[in-house]
Amino acid sequence: MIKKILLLVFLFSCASSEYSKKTEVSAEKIGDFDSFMSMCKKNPIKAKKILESQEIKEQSAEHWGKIGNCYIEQRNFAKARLYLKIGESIDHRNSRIMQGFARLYMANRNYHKAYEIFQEIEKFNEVSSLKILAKLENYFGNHEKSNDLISRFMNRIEKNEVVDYVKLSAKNDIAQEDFSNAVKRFEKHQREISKDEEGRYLFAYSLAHMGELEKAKMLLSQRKPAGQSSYFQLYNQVQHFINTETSKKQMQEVHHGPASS
Amino acid sequence: MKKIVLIIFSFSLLSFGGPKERRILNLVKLEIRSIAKIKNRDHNMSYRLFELYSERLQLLRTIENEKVFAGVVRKESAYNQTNRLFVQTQEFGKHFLLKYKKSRHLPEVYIRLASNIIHIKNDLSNHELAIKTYLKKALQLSDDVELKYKANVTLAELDYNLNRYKSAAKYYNEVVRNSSDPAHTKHLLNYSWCLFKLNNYENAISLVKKSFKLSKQYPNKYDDTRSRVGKAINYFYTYNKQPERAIDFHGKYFKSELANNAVAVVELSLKRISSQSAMSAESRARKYCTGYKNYECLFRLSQLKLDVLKAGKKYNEHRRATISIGKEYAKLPKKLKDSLENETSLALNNIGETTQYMQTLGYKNIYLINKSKKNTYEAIVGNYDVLKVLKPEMQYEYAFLQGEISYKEKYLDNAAKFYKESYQLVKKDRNQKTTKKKVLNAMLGIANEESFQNDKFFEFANVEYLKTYPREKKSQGIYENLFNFYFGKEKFLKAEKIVKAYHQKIPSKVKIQRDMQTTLTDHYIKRKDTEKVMKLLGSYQRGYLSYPKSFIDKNIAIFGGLVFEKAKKIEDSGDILKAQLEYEKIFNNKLYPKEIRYNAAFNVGINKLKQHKTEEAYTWIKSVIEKDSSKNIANKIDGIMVAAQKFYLLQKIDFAKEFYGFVSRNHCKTTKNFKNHYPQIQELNLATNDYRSFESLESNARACNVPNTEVALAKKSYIESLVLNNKSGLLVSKMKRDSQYLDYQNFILDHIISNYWSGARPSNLGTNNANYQNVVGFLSGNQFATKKVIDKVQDIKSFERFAKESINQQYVLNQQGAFSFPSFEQDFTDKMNTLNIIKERGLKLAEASSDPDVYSAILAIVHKNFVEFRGSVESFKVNTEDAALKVEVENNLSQIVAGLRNQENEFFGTYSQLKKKNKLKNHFVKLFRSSEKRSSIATSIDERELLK
Repeated sequence: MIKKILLLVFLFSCASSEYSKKTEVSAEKIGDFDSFMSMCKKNPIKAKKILESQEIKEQSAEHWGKIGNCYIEQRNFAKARLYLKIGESIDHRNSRIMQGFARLYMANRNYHKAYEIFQEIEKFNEVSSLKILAKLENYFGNHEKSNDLISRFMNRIEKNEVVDYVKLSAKNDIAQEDFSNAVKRFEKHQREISKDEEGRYLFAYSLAHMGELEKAKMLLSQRKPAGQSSYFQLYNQVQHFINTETSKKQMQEVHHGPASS
Repeated sequence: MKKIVLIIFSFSLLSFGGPKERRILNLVKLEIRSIAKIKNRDHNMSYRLFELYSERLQLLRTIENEKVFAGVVRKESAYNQTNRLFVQTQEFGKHFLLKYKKSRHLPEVYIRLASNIIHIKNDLSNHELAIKTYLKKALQLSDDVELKYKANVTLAELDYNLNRYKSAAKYYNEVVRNSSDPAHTKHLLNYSWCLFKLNNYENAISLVKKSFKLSKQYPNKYDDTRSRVGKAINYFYTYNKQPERAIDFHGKYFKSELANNAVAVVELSLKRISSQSAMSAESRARKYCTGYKNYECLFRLSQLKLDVLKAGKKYNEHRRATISIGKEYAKLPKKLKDSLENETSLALNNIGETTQYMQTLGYKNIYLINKSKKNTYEAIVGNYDVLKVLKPEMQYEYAFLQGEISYKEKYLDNAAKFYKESYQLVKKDRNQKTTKKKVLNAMLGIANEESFQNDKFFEFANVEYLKTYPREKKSQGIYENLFNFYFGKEKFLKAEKIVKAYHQKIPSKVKIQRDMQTTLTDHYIKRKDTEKVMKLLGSYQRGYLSYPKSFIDKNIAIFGGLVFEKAKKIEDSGDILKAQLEYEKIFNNKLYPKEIRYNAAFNVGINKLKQHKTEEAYTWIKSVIEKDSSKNIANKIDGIMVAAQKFYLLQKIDFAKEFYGFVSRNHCKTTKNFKNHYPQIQELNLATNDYRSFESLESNARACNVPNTEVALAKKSYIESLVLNNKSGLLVSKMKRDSQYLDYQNFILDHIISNYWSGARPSNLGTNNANYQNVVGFLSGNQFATKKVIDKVQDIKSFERFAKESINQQYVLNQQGAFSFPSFEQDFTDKMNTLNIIKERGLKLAEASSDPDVYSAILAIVHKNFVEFRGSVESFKVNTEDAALKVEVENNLSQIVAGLRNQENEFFGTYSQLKKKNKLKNHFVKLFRSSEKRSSIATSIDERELLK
């Protein structure tokens, strides 16, 4: 560790000193992490320009973390790793740096290692990390934990992400057979969910589990997926479940008469 | 003495000239002309004419005398007119005597004839007979009292003029009894002179004072004798040894003539009495003159005093008198100064001689003023100051003499001052060329005196010499001296001008001039005065001092270095843009040495880099690397590495890599700081997936003096990079052959295992081959495998095998149309045995593993088997009509289900405990839930969604 710090001290001591003010200005341009990451993804040219204008004297691991993460957004993993290493040599426990490395592992499909790191930085409560961790928790079957995490950032994400995380949390509910909660989530965001294919199926599935078969059928019948849809299987599964439950209900009605309201 | 007295006497008699005399003369002439026109004149008219002729003669003689005294005419020709008129007048008188023998005017005519002789002729003794004959004739022809009186007057005057004072006194004694004559005061005065001549001073004084008193009291009645009385008083009192009384008389009654009379008294006292008495008189006179602010008087007294003091060798007093006379002279108006030329000249001679004398004795160490060398020196110098006042046109000479005496007496500051003063006075005077040279040489002499340190004077003397004699042989040395002086005093511009002037005036000495100029050039170079050096080199290139090309080239090279340093200084001060312009200018100037030009180019690149102009920076630095000399590049290696590092930090990886690569390939062994850059060079290689370069540099690390610790750190990063990029396969093959990787085996394996768990699912066992094969292959041929890694690999292998065998185990109990216990028992026991085998095997494996994921995954698989088996038992239908059997079997089955459930719960409990203690990251644990909660749809996201 001392070695690493010494190396960085050397690196920055070689840089000129008259541009410290410039650094501040440039650093400001980067803005908050999430919006900058968004820019890295959506407008990589602009992000690159901002990154290249960054002063080399910048000494914070946070800074290099941003640069590294930005390169990850651009899928330039080699460069990302290079600058994360600089940040790591300044502060290897920095959340941005750890997040960067975790994302590199993710990119290389080492979810196991990435999961380890994201669990370590969970305490920093950063949306960008929590979102990935919530997915990883779900991925590794920790649905309750996944929902815990989602509840921590749900009100901090952009509108267009809401549906994804409603669905993810609903999946976690469904995995725990908490259909009531799943229905509540869907109902809360019904308007957005009704426009989402997977969301509708999951909502229908949850409703069916709650005995709301007619509503479920209505949702399901809004639009039938094409054969090549990735959700075709899900549609069939839900359709099948609703049909089964409908049959069961009819059977019950034959034996006991219709349910009184 | 006799002569003086005679002149004074003559003057007293004859000097009637003045406005009054001239007015009378005009009237006389007018009357002569009117009478002369008359043709038929009678004796009265003729007598009147003779009377007028006589009057005219005497008046004219008076005027002629004045002119002679005033020096307007020469004495020889002064009296021509009266001599001519005398003859005519006397002839006219004699003609009258013949023509009018019975005229009543005959006695008057005789008197006139006598009187005319007395007034016109100087040699009276030769005419005494004629005079007396005329007078006798006059007295014979008339006994008129008036006539007798006139005859007496004439006889008195005759005797006096013939020095027969006693006889004259006798006549005057008679004459002065007649106080009605307007000439009474004159006769009193003449009578007093006679008594004076007879040494009867007291009576003489009494008479003269009476004459003065009457003149003053009755100016209209008597002739004014006062001025002549003044002169008489001087003699009478002085001869009576009372000169102060004469002074008092003048001081009181006659201050308009105070100067002349006071001087006369002092002079007379000096001659007649003693110098002491003279000084006493002078002192008395000085009081009056001072009181009346009569500077002429004071000046003239001082002049006399100087003579007395000089003669008396009273040098201290002489010094004081000299000071006084200087002041007094200064106060005189110019006109007076002119009129006192003679006195001034005397004073000058006096002071000059005295000063010279003091100086001469001073050289013999005899000091006349207070026996003090200093005082005497000051007196001499002071005297010269007075001489400058008395004779301003000779100031330069006196100043020079002051300089000389000061130099001789070692008063060098004074000497310099006086020489300079003298020089200033003669420098523009074309007639003083010799003096000028003399003074300049004197100035140079003192300027070069070792004990005289006066830079200003040194400069003045030398510069003035050169101005005056710019081409003289002697001037050559002066040019050089002055150059050395200026150079020593750091007056470089002046030194430069001297060389220029020297070259202009004496171009033949160009070699010396070049040496001087080279000294200056070297100095400017040393001082790093680039502006100056540039200008000088420009002038050398244009031919100034005919410098050889080699010299100019050499200095241009030096200059290039200076300019470079200057630009560097600007850069260091923070003005990067200005510095950059300077560097670019240097680079673009092909006269500069290649080395300097590329140094400048390099700095341009570095500064561009500082401004984040990375593309331009790259171009500049690259041009240096490509075109600069190897030797010069070797000096820039540190700079190149810093530049590379900046490119690296500015995310210009390709540029950074290129420059670092250049250094790594060519200079790493000779560059001290290379070891410090090694880590980032290797990181760059990794970031560009250039593993070959990484390995190549790593193999050279020792030769490049990179410490092992740095090599190890880079190595670790290399491994991390490969692992992270899922290129651990590359590593594994190296690792198996290379003990260097021993320490990294565990790290690598952990990543491989991590990858395994990332992809291994209950649903893809056997299809996750690549990751599994990576784990399994880790040990294959691995000579350096440790027990720890062997165990870890073994864990995964065992798990994989167990999972494959156990995960899909079927426990469906054969449904019987009619329940047969033996058959059921056989079937149940088989399934139960299978379950137990899986459980035991699984638990054994789990216990043996230290990996929580292995443990939890096994537990999940075992749990799944239990759930499967329990499900099978629960769904089994006992189809028998034997109610008791059915109940018994169903009860037993219920107990079995309960037991299984308990077992499942235990497994789940263990898993839950494990989960609390460990972060489980495998897909098998989902088996706990999917078995329990039988959701028909997928509730875990897939990889696609995970990476979204």
